[in-house]
Amino acid sequence: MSEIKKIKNLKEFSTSADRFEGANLLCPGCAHSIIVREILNATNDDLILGSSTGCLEVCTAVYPYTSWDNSWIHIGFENSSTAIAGAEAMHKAKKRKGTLISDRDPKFVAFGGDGSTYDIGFQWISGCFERGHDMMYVCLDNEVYANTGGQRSSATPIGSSTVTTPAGSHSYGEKKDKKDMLSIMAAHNAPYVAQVAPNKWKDMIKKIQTGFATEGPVYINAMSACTTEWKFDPADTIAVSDLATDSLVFPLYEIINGTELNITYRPKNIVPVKDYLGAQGRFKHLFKPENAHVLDEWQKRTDAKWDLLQRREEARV
Amino acid sequence: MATREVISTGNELSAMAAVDAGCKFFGGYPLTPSSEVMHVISDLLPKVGGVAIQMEDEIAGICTVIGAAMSGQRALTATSGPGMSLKAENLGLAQMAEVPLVCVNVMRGGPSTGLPTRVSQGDILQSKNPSHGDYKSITLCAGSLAECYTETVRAFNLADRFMQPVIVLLDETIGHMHGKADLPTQEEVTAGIVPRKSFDGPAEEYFPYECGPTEPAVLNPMFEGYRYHYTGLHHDKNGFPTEEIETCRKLIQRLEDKVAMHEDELESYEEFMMDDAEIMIIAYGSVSLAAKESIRHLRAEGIKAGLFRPITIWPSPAKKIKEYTDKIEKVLVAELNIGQYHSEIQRAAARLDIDGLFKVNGRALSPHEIVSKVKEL
Repeated sequence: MSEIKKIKNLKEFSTSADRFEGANLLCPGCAHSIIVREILNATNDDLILGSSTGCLEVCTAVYPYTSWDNSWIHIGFENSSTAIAGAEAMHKAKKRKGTLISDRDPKFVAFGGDGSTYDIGFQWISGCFERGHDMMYVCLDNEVYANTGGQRSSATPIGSSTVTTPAGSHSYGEKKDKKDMLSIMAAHNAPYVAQVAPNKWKDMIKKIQTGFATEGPVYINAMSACTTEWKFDPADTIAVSDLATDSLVFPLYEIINGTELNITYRPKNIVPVKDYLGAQGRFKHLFKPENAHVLDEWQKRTDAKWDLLQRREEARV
Repeated sequence: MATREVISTGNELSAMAAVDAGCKFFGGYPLTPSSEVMHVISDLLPKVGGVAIQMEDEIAGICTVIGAAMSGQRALTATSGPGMSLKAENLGLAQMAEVPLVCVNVMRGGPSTGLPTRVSQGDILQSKNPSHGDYKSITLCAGSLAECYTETVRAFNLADRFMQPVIVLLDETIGHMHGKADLPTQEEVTAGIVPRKSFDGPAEEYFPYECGPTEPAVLNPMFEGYRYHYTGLHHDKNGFPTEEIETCRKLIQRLEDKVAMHEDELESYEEFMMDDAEIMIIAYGSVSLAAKESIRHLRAEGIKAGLFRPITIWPSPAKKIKEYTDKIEKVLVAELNIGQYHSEIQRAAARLDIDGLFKVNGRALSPHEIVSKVKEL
């Protein structure tokens, strides 16, 4: 069992050795780099990492540079989970046979965007969790196919304008609400699943460290505000993320062993959902009078989901 | 021929062509450099009562298209090499069950993720046999903006005629090229549509897979009046699975022969300054544009070069190639891969001394490179 890295405060955390170098080609203000940096800095363990095709992969290893200080596999759009599962299974087998070169136990982490997690890689993640690999899967959820030019994914929320669900005179954009990935992963009886956001860094580190200390598959859904596709000023990434968590659009919680749900952040002042939506260009059209019903629907759904989470927390189901 | 002039890109023209050719369904997945086909068609189709769905992956993309095509509609999917790899199994299913559909492949560098935003012609052999087993693919390759339109229209007509998938190859350069194109009018496109064959006799006499040894199946729209079985297994005249030896042999032989015996209907190529050519360049897709420019330069220097450009890539225009290679000694195949079509030209010519100019670094071949190579021959 590896030792859990002690982190006292943000200053110490942000000045500790960077395991994910900032010199990458991600857009200015992209939350991906903040999240990945927080995850990697949360542990001193060796890491074996995998990324599906996507913004993170494209932008962090452009020859002759790399942002990664550990072994890193880039695989197709749908398979970071399975590549890491293969590495983990081989490691386990070698350990059993006593043929490992090092006696240090690495952690296995797979990264994917929401397209690769909610859509094309879905069945493979499910397989990894069903088989029970000792690995962490992190979805960098920016609710859109950002790397291929802004198409909707099944993580795209209602009312969002994307190139394949454009808002205009005939449409208010995406008609469906996003998949509830956390519930789906919890339904695999995964030992630990959690939703995190980079603005709540302490909450995030705690969850990541819990994840690393957990044996078996761990799913982390990380909200990653996308300055390019959500259309906000690159300086506002954390402010927009704050609005997401404080409006309860993106509640922070964890589910242990498929049933024990704990809400880990309760905002002191809950802000209206329209404040969160209004901060982003992708929802601009919702503020036209003809789309007022979508704004109402948004608030209603957010309230209902929060209510359900609280009831699940209480009922432990 | 009446024409209309538009300014557009190859990908957009391909989407427009599908809608003009009566396509009512698109199922696909965002894949660079083909995504614009989906962007444009998701805007166009709802206006004509059609449906465009962004699916959760490439496999789902082709499978919805198979479902839509089985219901009697013209249906399209679009992707690039990695997506073709994923669709391969179901392209095979569509060959086996004889489902007419069109798949546009905008080629990028491969294998694997390759060079997503760069040009390549690396999917030539893949498009010949994307799936396992025996069948005969039909693949068309656009060599200009106008052909992105006309070849997509032709693909729909051929799919319905031969009852099988037809692949339209664009490459990244053609797909993203922006410029003027002279297109046939909508009336002309509509006039050229020959509906799928259908059966209208009594239901008990309908055997969808009972047809001549060189003819495609006659599949009525699946949910209208007639009932039949549909499977990727070897099947009998009703479509029901069978292992009966002769039925199995006949089925696969027919899948081959329904195309092989009608190659004259498919053959399509362009000859550019070939009348007095002493050197033949063979190129297709965007490379043919550079080849034409290089030929102008070579001719200005007194070198009599010409271009032979296959438009129907599979089946290849082998007879015509043989005719030329029998009389022209110096032949150069220029392509953005390491000789994928070159091997087909060698086969058709029955010659191993065909020269090649290959490039696989994601960049286009320039006229200058072709000129230099021709001078070395």
